[in-house]
Amino acid sequence: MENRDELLRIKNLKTYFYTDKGIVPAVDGISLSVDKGQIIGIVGESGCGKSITSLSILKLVSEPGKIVEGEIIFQGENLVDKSINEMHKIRGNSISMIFQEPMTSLNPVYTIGKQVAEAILIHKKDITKAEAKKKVIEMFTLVGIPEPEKRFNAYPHQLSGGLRQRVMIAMALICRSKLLIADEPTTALDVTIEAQILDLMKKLRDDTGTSIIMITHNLGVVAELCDYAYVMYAGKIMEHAEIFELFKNPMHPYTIGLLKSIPQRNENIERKRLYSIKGMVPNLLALPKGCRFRPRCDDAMEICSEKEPEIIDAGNGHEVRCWKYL
Amino acid sequence: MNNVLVKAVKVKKYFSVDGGVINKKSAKVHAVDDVSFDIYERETLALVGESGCGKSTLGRALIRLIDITEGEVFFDNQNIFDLKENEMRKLRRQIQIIFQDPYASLNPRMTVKDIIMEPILTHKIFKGKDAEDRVKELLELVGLRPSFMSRYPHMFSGGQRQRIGIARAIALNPKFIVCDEPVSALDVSIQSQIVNLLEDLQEKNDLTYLFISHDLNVVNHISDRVCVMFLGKIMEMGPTKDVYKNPIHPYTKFLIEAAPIPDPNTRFREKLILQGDIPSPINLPLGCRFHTRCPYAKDKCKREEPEINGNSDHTYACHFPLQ
Repeated sequence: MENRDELLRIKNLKTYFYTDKGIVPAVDGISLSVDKGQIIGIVGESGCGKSITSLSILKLVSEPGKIVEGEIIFQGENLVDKSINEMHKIRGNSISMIFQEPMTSLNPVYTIGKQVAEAILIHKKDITKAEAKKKVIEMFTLVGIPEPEKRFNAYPHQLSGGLRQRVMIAMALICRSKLLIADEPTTALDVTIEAQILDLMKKLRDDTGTSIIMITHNLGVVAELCDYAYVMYAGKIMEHAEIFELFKNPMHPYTIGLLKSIPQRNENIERKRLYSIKGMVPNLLALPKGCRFRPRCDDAMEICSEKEPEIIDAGNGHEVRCWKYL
Repeated sequence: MNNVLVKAVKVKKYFSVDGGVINKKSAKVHAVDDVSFDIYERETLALVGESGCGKSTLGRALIRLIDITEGEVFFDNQNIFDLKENEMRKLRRQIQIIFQDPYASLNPRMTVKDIIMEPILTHKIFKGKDAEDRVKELLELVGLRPSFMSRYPHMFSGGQRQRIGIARAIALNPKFIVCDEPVSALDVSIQSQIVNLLEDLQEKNDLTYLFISHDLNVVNHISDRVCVMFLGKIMEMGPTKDVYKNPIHPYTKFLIEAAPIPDPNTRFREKLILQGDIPSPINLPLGCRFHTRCPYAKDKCKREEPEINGNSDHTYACHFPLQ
């Protein structure tokens, strides 16, 4: 693994929320790494901490949340130690982010051209407005916005959801970010538009070498796009592996359950019941003792309710947090 | 084949949009444009399409939650738009709806008991203790503990709320339920629980479903027949297995191809990606309304709107069908 070109490494990151009701360990000691030009996926259900992980990387977690432990090493520097001013230079410049709701992440009173140009004008001091405009139009062309010169002066409400998400991607990539964090970028879009955006993200990675962290609940999206995936549950990473390995040989009962819950296309057999994981996601304020998936797990053993399992190497670069494999 | 329970005949629903104070030109949104079909007893008919294609509007029109501009809807051979208000209220026992958003569709100020009991009391099915027993029975039926009765909606998770919505919908023993994206807002592991519950209830209570969804994997699993809509019109309709295996309309083919498949080995397939955006339902393109996005469009498609073709089982509206 020496010749890997690592861009980001997160070590034992903990982001806790200090609420009136107690401490919520939203991100509870996760470690991951992203190589240059790699697309990794973080999959999990609502409340598993995948979005808080991404916000932590940019240090955008707001009160009462706090990064309490861990390191976020980006290009050799620990972002956890950076001041607000230093983070301003990183955000939107070397790391940028796109959000789920393209409707609410754009400012309705400015034209999209102006909003995207702002990103360059802030980060690159020596650039003129005319040059910025030229760059924006180039970027609009790259992300497939039709009639980019005309659209430069359009307002967000004049665009469809798919086009707005393209504008967000243009904004995120205009400064040639090394890392793009995409938080459920296609969840609010229709399937035919989702396919367009996923295709665009793959092309951008191939053409510009940008690394992407794809945050999603959709295993289909992960299977289509990612090189590597992490499965998160209630603040912890349960399993991670290279994408083909993960889908071929899922090990954690949670991952297996998730994959089985998706209705299969080639159901030639008479309609059978869908597999479902019993129960629901635990309350982070009152996590079960031992393994946090234990109350929903069909394979739970005695030890599972006593001690939390460590993550172990299962070979083939596949790591899993489950007593079954210890 | 079972009896026809719901029959839609040339249903049209147009909404007017006002042009504003200065420029008072009003335009029409063709939300549902000349739709006809039958829904048979005890079947699940899925209605699929992208946002703005009119599938929710059509679902609401079938149970007269909104009025229609033109056309007729028959339930058990009665035209529901001919019924007087009190007759319609009686009929409402038999037709119910489950909504997409389990957060917005339950009154936050009412307890679960009040929410589920309301239809029972309104329709004078049971009173007092009997009504309460019925609520308990319903909660058990949808997999919730009867002791949850006095709780408020905010104390439940999304999946549990959807179960409450389902309990309310089946409280009056309806025959027909419109399920408007009932699992779209739920997590994968919860989604399958609700899909199973809907299937179990259908089996037990002989229910007929109109299942509105944009999730093609779920539709493939749950429905007997599927109806594909695009901008207010039916593009293709037929038995689900048939339509998925041999789509006739290009739009259906692209829609099925577009859904991401949870298997990385399929990523290298020749993937068909539909270009462009959905046209505005106000300024519909002339001819076939899909032609601006259709890669196979020819001159005829720009001029003439296709008629509905095919056999009684599997129909489509396209000048140049794929088969």
